[in-house]
Amino acid sequence: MLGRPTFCLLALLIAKSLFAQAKPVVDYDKEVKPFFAKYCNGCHNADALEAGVRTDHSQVDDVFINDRENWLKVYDMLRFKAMPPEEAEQPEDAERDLVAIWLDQNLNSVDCDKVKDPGSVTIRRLNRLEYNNTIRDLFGIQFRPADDFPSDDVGEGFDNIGDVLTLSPLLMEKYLNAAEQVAEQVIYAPNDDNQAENLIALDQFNVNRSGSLVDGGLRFTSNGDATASFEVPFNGKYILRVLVGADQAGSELAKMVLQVDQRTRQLMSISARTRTPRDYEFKMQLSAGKHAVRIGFINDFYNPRASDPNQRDRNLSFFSVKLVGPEVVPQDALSRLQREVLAVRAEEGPEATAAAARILTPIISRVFRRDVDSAHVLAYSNLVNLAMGQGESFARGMQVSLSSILVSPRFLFRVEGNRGSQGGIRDIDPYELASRLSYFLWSSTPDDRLLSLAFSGDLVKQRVLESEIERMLIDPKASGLVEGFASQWLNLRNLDEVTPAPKFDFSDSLRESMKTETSMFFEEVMRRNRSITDFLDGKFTFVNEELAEHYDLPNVSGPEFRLVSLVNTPRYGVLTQGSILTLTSQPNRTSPVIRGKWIMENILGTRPPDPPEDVPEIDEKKAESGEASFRKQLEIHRESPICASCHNHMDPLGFGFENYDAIGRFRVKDGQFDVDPTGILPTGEKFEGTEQLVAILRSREREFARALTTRMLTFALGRGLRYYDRCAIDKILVELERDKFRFHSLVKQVVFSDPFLKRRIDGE
Amino acid sequence: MNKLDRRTFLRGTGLGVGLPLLHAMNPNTSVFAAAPEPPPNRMAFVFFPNGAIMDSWKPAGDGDSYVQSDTLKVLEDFRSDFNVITGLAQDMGRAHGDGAGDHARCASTYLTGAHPYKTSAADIKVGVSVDQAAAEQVGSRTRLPSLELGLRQGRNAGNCDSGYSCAYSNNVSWKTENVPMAKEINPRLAFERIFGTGEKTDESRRRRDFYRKSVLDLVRQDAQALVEQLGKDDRQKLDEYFQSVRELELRVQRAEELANIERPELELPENAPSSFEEHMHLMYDIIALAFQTDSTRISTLMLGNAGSNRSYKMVGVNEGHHQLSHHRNEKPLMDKIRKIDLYLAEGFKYFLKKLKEMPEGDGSVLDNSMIVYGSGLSDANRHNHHDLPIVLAGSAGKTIQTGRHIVLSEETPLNNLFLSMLDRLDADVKSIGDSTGRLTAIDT
Repeated sequence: MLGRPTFCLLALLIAKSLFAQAKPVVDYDKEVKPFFAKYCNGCHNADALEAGVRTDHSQVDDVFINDRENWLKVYDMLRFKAMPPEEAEQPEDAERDLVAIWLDQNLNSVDCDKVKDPGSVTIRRLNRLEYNNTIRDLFGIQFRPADDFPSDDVGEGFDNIGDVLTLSPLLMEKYLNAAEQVAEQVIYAPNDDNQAENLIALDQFNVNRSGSLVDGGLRFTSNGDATASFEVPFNGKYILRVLVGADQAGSELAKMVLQVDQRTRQLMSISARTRTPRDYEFKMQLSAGKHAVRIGFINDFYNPRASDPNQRDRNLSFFSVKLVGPEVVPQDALSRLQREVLAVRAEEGPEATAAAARILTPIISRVFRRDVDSAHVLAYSNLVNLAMGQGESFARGMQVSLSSILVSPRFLFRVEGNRGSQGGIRDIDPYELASRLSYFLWSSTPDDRLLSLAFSGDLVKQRVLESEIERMLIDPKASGLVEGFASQWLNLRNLDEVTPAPKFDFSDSLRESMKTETSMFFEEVMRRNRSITDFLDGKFTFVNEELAEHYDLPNVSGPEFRLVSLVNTPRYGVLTQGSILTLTSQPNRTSPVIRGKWIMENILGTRPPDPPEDVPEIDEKKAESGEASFRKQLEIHRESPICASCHNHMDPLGFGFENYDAIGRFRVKDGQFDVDPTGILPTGEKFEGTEQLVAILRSREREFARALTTRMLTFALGRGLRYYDRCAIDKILVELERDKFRFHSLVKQVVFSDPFLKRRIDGE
Repeated sequence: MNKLDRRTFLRGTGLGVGLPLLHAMNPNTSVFAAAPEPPPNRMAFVFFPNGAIMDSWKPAGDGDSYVQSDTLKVLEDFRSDFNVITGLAQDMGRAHGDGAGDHARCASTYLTGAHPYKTSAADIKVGVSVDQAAAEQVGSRTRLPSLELGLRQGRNAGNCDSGYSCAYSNNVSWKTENVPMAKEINPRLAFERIFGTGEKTDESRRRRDFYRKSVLDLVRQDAQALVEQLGKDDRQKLDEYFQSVRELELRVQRAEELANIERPELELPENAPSSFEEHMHLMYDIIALAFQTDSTRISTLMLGNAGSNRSYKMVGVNEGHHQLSHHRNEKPLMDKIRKIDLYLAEGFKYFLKKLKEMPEGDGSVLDNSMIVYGSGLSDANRHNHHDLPIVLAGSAGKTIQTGRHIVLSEETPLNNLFLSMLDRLDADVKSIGDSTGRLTAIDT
């Protein structure tokens, strides 16, 4: 059992062999075929076909292309030593290694002179982040409808993968609701008196005292009041119209008070009856923004001894509250679009359609992110007549048209046509390129500059492309790359889900601060074009007072974040940031295994294989509880070779960070035990603490660069990477290293790569 | 099954007649104010993650004189309204050569009985779930074909379970084998989907629906033109768009045919509540109201996503649920899980009480429902997909004999229960997952 090289070591060996220039050539007939015959073909032949896999091919020229999935399984099973099964004859390690190398060569390495496949991305719908940003940038409104959308499906570590994103009926319904709401905000549609009428719903009212919803109204049987907040679109004169009725009794009429914000109350005597309510109007001047209205009943009356039973009890009910106005819309409060729409005087029919088309053409072009033909525009413009036919205004019709544009598949999906012969390769056209660029770097729609460059065709020129990338990375909208890419690459979104145990006193504000720190760090590397190795060992970060206290950094006060140096502190890059340390922990303790796995996946780009099917029970007698330190207990778990093969990789990496507790605070003791942050990696490298481990990781900067490039290319393309993308990645890495691993180079090389600028034409 | 005869006339009369006619005759009043016809059956499926401690879940004895278990004792007040069923399994949740990923399989097989295709990215595939199989057949009889709810969206960064896409862990309802039915986690939004926002009058809602018909029609045509330009994989994606648009069009149509339902009263916070208990109760409230008003007859609720590592501080459990479920048979850890099991069962009691207190016909809404409360795993330490913890509440119009502990032979497919449930909704479904027939043990 001892001395056998483990699978993970094997993977590293293989990885190293791929980096080396010379590749060992393994001969199928001489070395691999006999191996399969001896150890595998008994079960995995054309007849028996155990688990649907056969290894008994006479020749293998096509099998890797046609049967790739199965060969990947064979590769996994073999190197992980899950196959042959325990009871069968086991091959020698040397034999196993050789066949694994052969498999890896056939599955992963590729002759870049022969294979030039840029891949094909399946049509991608906008995800939540992209939808919100797109609405913000198209219309300049702060409304974020996608916050209520269901979560996006994640694949390949990202939520923007075309093949993976689904469109359920629930989501379609939300798209439709959102489209209508956006249209209402963007286009102002007053009624015939040129006044907008907005209902404040009854259930928006918070009852302060003794009111309840009865028979479609809010009813007060004794003195009481209710409050609701409402939005006022523009400064101006308004009317609050309240439909009110009362049960009358006693010598005076029921009295209602209406108060807006903290200002003077208006008092009204209500003569209308509950069964026949009437509108009562309250005039006032209001400023744009949020206000509160309070409606109350102030003269309750109850005389059970009154002779007429209908004169015993005075109550008040109101049935609807409408905000009407403003009397005159201040012209400077309207957007150009709103003014344009209100200025139209067109008859229902072709005149209205033409007016709508004139206004909508530039909008549709931006919403669909490309040139549009007039037939198209007319179809959407024609919808104005639907509303006008119902007696509504042109403006209202424009709202309907706009809402339909916003649920068109040409908006919701990023369309890249399949023109050309099947299997052929074509260049991405300038408009498609504009969208790819803006959704990559901004997670948002192309701006006017990108669209004009697309229109003129200049965008595809290398020089122009390069300067646009630089412009985009400086633009504030590049925060979209942080929110879209960085948060997913680093698994930051998981930070929202963690629930550290109460003993840690982990507040939501600390959680937010941690997210901010890591985001700002990434943004700094991005905007200042720093080397990506800073993610590993950069000696700076961003903290506010709360976080500085958390990290024991002196002289930081106030809630604002500022750049601080980490020299002379035990902190390095992102690896020791509170965010990462917390999201890789259990609620009540650290987890070296999870931390090790995180580093392997996101920094080194080698995902550990899945645990085997039947994880054997830990021998209870051996598990000492409370007597041994946590680390000692973990080491017991690795006594079984099946577990050890992968845990020998994950655990040491995690042990190297044991000086940071489950919420990232530095510690030298874990309970009663001293922290032991030493370890040995399967390569034999030893480290005595975090600093040395980080140095080892830094020495693997090429591996890190490959890992980051792979992730970024995946995100930029919106598809999983295939073996043929290896050529593009290799090319990117050469240029990246030449520019000392600086961030802008990475982005530029990704954009200049074949997979980004071209696509394969899909089958019919 | 003799009760089926009472419903045959409903099936025969087709869409838009029968029950919907009742609405049109009594606008703006509760549907069953004067219902001469028998109330329809409903089905709901509640899912809790990470299984349960089975020795505390399973009652002793069988039949109707069984001894209630520790975990389910909290439901004793409603003993005559439910059955505890032992012996059910979802065999397709087992690895069958795919290695690890039992939690992803737990959730994705729970209502489908199909083996999910192991992928972390593209080509997600499992099977149609029982609720959607029902919705496909009979969903058009109500305003909303079905209602999918949950308490958390679910992790959506990185891998969710050993090489399985997060879609498998975060959904129990699957419309097709590739498309999960996204769940709503905000109670207010769920409520508004069913009952409207209250900001609009009937008149303006009708007008909005009128416009929506044309809007949907136009974009569907545009999509048809678009499809011409696209490749095969793209067309499959556009298909989802088409289906969803079509679904919405049908819903608009139904809203026109069915009279308006009066909006029930329910105090709702703006966003999803931070208190688990409040959140859970609100979702139960909403399903109950939806059933009571016949807004839908089919619903699913995920109390947590598969493999959920949520801690339950309110019952003194500070560790993560998933973390604990690998208890290695250690009593202190198992006791903590027992607390979680008990707490969630108490939540379910809230739901039963709500349904029982809604009078309907000569009984209650609960009497005309079938509620499954369970998980796709039993012992989560061993990742067992058999001997599942399943409670079946409600008698579906007295066609299910309740108040028993039904002990079946081991490995009875859970999907057999689903077929029996589908029968009682008049959904004509021949098989689901690895079903082998009906579960006649529940019949009266």
